[in-house]
Amino acid sequence: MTSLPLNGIRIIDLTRIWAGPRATKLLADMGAQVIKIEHLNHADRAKPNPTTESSQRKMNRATPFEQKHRNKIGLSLDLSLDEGKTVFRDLVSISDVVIENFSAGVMNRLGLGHENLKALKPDIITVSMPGFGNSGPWKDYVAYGVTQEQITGLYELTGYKDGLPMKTGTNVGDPMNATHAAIATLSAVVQRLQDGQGEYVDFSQYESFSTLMFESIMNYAANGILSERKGNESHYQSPHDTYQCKGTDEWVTIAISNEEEWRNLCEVIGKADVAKNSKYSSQQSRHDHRKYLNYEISKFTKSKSKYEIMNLLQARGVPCTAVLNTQDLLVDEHVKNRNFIEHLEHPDGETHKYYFGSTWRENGSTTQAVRSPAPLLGEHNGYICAELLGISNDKLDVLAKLGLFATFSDN
Amino acid sequence: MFKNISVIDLSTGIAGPYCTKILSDLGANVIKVEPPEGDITRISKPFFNTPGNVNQSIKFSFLNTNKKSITLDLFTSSGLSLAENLIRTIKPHLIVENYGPGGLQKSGLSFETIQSINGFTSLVSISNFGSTGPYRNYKAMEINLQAVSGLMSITGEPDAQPLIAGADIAQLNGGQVAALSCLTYLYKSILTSVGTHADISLMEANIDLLENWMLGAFQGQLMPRRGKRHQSGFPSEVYPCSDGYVSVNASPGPWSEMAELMEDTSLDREEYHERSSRPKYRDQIEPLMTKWLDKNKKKEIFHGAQKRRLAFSYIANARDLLESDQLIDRRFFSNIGTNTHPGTPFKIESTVTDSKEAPSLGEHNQEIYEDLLGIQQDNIRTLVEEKVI
Repeated sequence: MTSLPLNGIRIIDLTRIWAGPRATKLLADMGAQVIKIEHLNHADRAKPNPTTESSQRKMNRATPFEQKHRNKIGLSLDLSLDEGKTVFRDLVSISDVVIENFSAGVMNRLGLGHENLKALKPDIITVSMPGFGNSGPWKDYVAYGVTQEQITGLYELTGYKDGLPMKTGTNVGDPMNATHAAIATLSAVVQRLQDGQGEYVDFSQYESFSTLMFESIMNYAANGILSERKGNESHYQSPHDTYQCKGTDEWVTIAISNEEEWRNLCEVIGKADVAKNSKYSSQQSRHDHRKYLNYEISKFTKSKSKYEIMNLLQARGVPCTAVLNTQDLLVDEHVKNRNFIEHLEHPDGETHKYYFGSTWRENGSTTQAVRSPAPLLGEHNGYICAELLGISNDKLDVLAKLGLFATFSDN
Repeated sequence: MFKNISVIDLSTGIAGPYCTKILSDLGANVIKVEPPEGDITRISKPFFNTPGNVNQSIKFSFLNTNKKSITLDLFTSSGLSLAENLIRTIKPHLIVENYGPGGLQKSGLSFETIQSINGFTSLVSISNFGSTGPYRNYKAMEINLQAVSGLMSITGEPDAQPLIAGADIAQLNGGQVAALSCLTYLYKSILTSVGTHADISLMEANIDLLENWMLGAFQGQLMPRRGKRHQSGFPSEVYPCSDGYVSVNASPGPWSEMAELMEDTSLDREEYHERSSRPKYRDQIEPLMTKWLDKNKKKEIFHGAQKRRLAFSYIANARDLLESDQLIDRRFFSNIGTNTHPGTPFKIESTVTDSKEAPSLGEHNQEIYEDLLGIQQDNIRTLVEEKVI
C-alpha cells in the first residue's frame, strides 16, 4: 500500500450522526487510522434484519452511514461497563486523538474527560464538539442538524425576496462544521509536532458556523445594517439570477461582474444593441431595469438546454453554470472526467457502491480515495483488541461474556 | 506553535484568503503577495461606513487578519526573480494560489520550480473546477458555484426557482477544504521534508456537502427541493412568533414538556405523546401551538424550550448573534483595529489572541524587501517605477 499523508495518526472516534463522523472521514481519507466506536445499545446506525453479515453490509449501503465511514475501522465497546472503560483507556494510551460530539459533560461523567485521558497519555488531543461548546449558559442546550444555520443567521438570509426565511437543502451547518472540526484536529496535531504538547479543543459548532456569517455580523456591528433576504439577486451585481431553460425544472445561473461580460452576454442572446444602450451601462442601472433585462435573458434561455447555454456563454467568458440536480451530478462529464465519483468492490461481492472521492487531487494523480467500505458494527474488534492492545484470547472470551463487544448478531 | 510555519499566499478573492486566514489566525507567518493593483476583494462591497478604517471592504478586512501584505507583479521577469528570492529566503512550508489552471505556470513559477528551490514546500492550488476536465477554464461567481455543485437544486420551494444560500457558502467551504489540505501537507512535510501539489476544485468541495443526501440519488431517485420542510416527523419546522420565527422540535425531551412549556393542558392528550402517530393530529396540535407562539418572543420561547430539553431554535440575525449571551460568555467576538470581528471557528493554544488588522496594500514591502531580502533602496525605487511592486 502506498503511504498516505496522515498515516501514523490514530484517532478514536466516538462521534455520531453527521458533523463528527464527517470530520473524521476527512482525516481517514488522508490516511489517519480512525477507530469508530459504537455499541449494540448505542449504535450510530439502524439495526439490520436479519443480523447476518451480508445483511449488515446491505444496510450500510442503503444509508448515508457508508459515505461517512469509509476508510474507518469499527470497534463495538460498552463504555458504561468498567471493563469497557479499561479497554478504552488502553486504546487512548496508544492513540493521538479522541473526538466526540456528545452533549457537554458526558465524557467527564464517564470519567473519560480530557484530564483523565491526559493522565494516561500526556500528549493526547481531545476534541469535544457539542452544539454550543462546553461552557457558557447554553452549554446543555440541544442542537440538531438544521439548528446551526437557524441560530447563526444563514437561514434568515436564505429565501425569496419578500418571502419567508428558508433552510438550505443540505443543512450546510453539519458538513461545514465538520470541516472546521477536522481542521481544528489537524491543527492540534501539527502544533504537537512542534511543541510536544497535547490539547483540549472545546469546539462549539455555534461558533464555528457564526464565523462564516462574518459579513452580516460586521456589517451590522460597524454600519448598523441588517442584511435582508434577496432571493437570487445581488446588491452589487446585475444581472445575477437563475433563469429557466428548456425542459422541466431546468435552470442556469448567470452573474455579471464587468462590462466585458455584459457585452458578451448581450451578444450571445442576440441583443447586442442592449449592451450599447447607456441606460444599462452600470451594475446599478441594470439592477434598476432587471425586470426587462431578465425577461430578455429568459427569452433566450427558455429556448435551449441548460448545458447548451452554459457552454455557449462560457465560451464567451460569461460566468454561467447549469443548476445541476443530484441525478445530473452522477452523469456530468466534468465530474466523470475528474473521477470524482468512485466505486468499490464490496467484500461481499454483491454490488459496486458509489462514493464521492477526495475533494482534492494530489500531484496530478486520480488515485482512488475510497480504500475500504464502512466497517460493520464491531468488525475490527479482533484486530484492535488482540493486535493493537495485545489482549489475550482467554481474557477476550471473559470480556465478551460480559457483553462488552456485543454486535447485532448478539442481540 | 505555528509561529515557525511560513506561508506565501498568492491568492485573492474569498476561498484562498479564508484558507490562509485560518493559518494566520493560528499564528503562521502568512505573507500575502498581491498584484500591484491589489486583491480584488479590497474593493468588494459592503464597505465600512465608519471613519478611520485601514481597509474599506468588510470582506477584505475579515479575510486577511494577521497577514503581511507585499505587492509584486509575478508576470514580469524581475517580479518572478523576486518571488524566487522570496521562496529561497523564507523557505515557506506552503504556497497557496488561485490563478486558475495553468495560470501560475505562465509566470514561470510552477510546482517543479518551487520544488527545485525548496523541496519541502507544498503548493495548494485552488480553482473553481480543478486543473483538469472540460469545465476547467469556466468562470464562476458564488451563485454559479452553488448551482453547478447541486446545492441550489435542493434549496427553495419545489414550484419556484432554485435558491442560493444567503452567504458565500461555496467559496468559504472551498477555503475550508483548502485549509485542511494545507494542514495535511504541512504535517507530511514536517515529518518527511517532501512537498506536495494539491489541486482543489471548489465544485467538488461543494458537491461533497451533499454526501448525507445522495444515497437516494445513487439508487436513481432525484432529490427534490423541499422548501421549508425539515425532516419527516411533527412538529419539526419553523413557525412565526410575536417577533420573528422559531424552529419547533418536540424532542429529545418528552411531549409532556411541550404542554408545560405552552401552558396548555389540552396539548397533553395521551394520543399526542407517541412520535410516530403524532402527525395524524397535526390539525389539532398546530392551532394550539401557534396560539401560544404568536404571543411569545423568539428568545423566550427558545430558552424556555431548551430548559426543558426541547431542541428549539430561533431564526437569528446579526444583531442576535452580537447580543448572544452564549457567544459573549465565551468571548467569541473581538475588537481588531476599529472593528468588531467574529472569532475564529475554534481555539487552540496557538490561536492568536492579539489579532492584527488586515494589512493595507504593500504595507510590509519595506520590511520584506529591504529588511528581509536585503534589496537596496535604489533597486526598490526602480522596481516601483517599473510597477513590479
